Amino acid sequence: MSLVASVLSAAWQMFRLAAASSIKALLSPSCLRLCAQQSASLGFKCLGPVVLILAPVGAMFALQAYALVHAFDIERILPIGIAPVLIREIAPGFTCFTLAMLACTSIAAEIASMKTNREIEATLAMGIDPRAVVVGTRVLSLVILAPLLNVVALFSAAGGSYFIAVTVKQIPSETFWVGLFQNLRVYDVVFSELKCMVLGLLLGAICTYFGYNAQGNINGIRRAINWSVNLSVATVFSSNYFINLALC
Amino acid sequence: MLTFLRHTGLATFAALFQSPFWAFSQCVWRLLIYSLPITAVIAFFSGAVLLTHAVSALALVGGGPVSGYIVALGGVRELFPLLAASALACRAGGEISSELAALKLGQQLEAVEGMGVNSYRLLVGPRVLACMVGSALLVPISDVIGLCSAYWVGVYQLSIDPGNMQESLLIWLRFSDLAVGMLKGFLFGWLVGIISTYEGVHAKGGANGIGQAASRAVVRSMIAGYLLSFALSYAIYGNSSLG
Repeated sequence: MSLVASVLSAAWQMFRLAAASSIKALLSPSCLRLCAQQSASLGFKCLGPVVLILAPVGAMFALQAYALVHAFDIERILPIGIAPVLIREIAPGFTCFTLAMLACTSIAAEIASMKTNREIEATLAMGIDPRAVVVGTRVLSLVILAPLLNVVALFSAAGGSYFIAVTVKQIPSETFWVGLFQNLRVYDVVFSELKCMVLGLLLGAICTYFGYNAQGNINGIRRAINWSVNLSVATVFSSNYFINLALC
Repeated sequence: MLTFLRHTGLATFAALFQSPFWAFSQCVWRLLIYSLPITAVIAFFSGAVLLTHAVSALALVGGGPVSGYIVALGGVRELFPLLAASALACRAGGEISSELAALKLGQQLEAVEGMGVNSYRLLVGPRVLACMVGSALLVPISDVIGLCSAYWVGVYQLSIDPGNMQESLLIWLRFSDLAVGMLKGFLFGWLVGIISTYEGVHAKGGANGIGQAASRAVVRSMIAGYLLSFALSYAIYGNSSLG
C-alpha cells in the first residue's frame, strides 16, 4: 500500500513540475526561441539513431510478415497489412523508445549536472525562474520533437520494409507503394502523431523530474540518469498499450 | 578501439576461467535483477499490443482467431529477443558505462592499475561476459512473458476461444526459433558489454562525461544490436517460410 502511495505521489510531483514549468515557459517571451533551440539540438542528436534503428526494425517486420502471407499464398496483401502497424505502432513506439534512451538520458544528465553544480541556484539568484527556462522548455521541446521524428521514423521503417518486400522478395515496387497507401487513413496518421505528443510529454516530465531532483555529486547524476531511462522506457511501452486501449 | 577489443577479448576469456565463479555469478545475478523488471514490463505490453494489432490486421481476411501465429512468429523470432536485449542495453548498459565512467573520472581506475591489478580483468571482462550470459537468459523470460500477455489479452480482452488462442500461439513455434532468439540475445549482449565498457573506460570531462558516456553506450549498442539482429534474421529467415 505504501509502495502504491509513494508511486502515486512521485507521479503527481512529476506532473506538477512538468505542468507548472511548461505553463511558465509558455508565458515567457523567449519560450519559442528556447524551445526551437532545444528541439533542434535534441533532434540532430536523435535523427541518426532513429533512422538507424527504424530501418532494420521495418525490414525485420516485413521479413516475418512475408513469411506469414507467403504461407497462405497472399503475398499481395503484405503492404496493405503492414501499413497500419508501421504507422500506428512501430514508428511512434520505436521513436519514443529511442527518445527515452537518448533524449531522456541527455536531459536528465544535463539538468542533474546543473543542479549538482549549483547552476540552477545561480539562475534563481539572477532572478530567472529555472523551472521555466530549464524544465519547461525541455518538456515542450520533447512534445514538439516526438511527432517530427515520428515522420522520419515512418519513412525509415517503410524504407526497411521496401528493401525486403521489393528488393529481396521481388514484390513489384508499384504494388508495394499502392498497397501501403491504400490502407492508410488520416485517422491513423493523426493517432500516431497524437500518441507521440503524449509520450513526448510523459518522457519530458520524467527526465526533467529526475534531473531537477538529483542530489549529491557524480553518483547523484548516475542515479538520476538510470532512473530516468528505466522509467521512461517502461512508460513508453505501458502508456502505448493504454493509449491504444483508450483510442482504438 | 582495436587495442580495447584485444584487451577486452582476453579479459572476457580470462573471466571464463580465472574469475571466481561466485564473483561472475554475482555479476550475472545483479545484471538480471537490474534488467528483469523493465524486461517484464516491455515484454508484457509488447505482447499485448502485438496481439491487438494482429487481430485487427487478420480481421481483413477473417483470420482473427489465428492471430496468435503473428505473436509467436514476430514476437519470438524478432520482437521479444530484440526488446529483452534493448532492456539490457538501457538498464545494464547504462549502469555499466556510468559506473565505469564514475570510476574513471574519480581516478579509481588509475588507482587500480597503480596497485598492479589489471583493470580489464577485474572490471571489464566479467561485465562483458555477464552481459552475454544475462542477455541470453533474459530472452526466454521475455518470450514467456510476451506469449502469456498475448494469451491473456486474446482470451480476456478480445474474447478469443482459449483453445484456439493456445493452439495459434504454439502450433508454429519451433525450438529453433527460441534458440535463434537466444543466440541473438547472446550476441546483442556481447555488443552491449563491449560498447558500454568501452564508453565507460574512455569517459572524459567531469560530471557531464558520465551522462554522455551512458547515453552514447545505450544508443550505440542499440544501433549496433539492431543492425546485427537484422543481419542474423536475414541470414536465417531470408529464404525460409514458416517452417
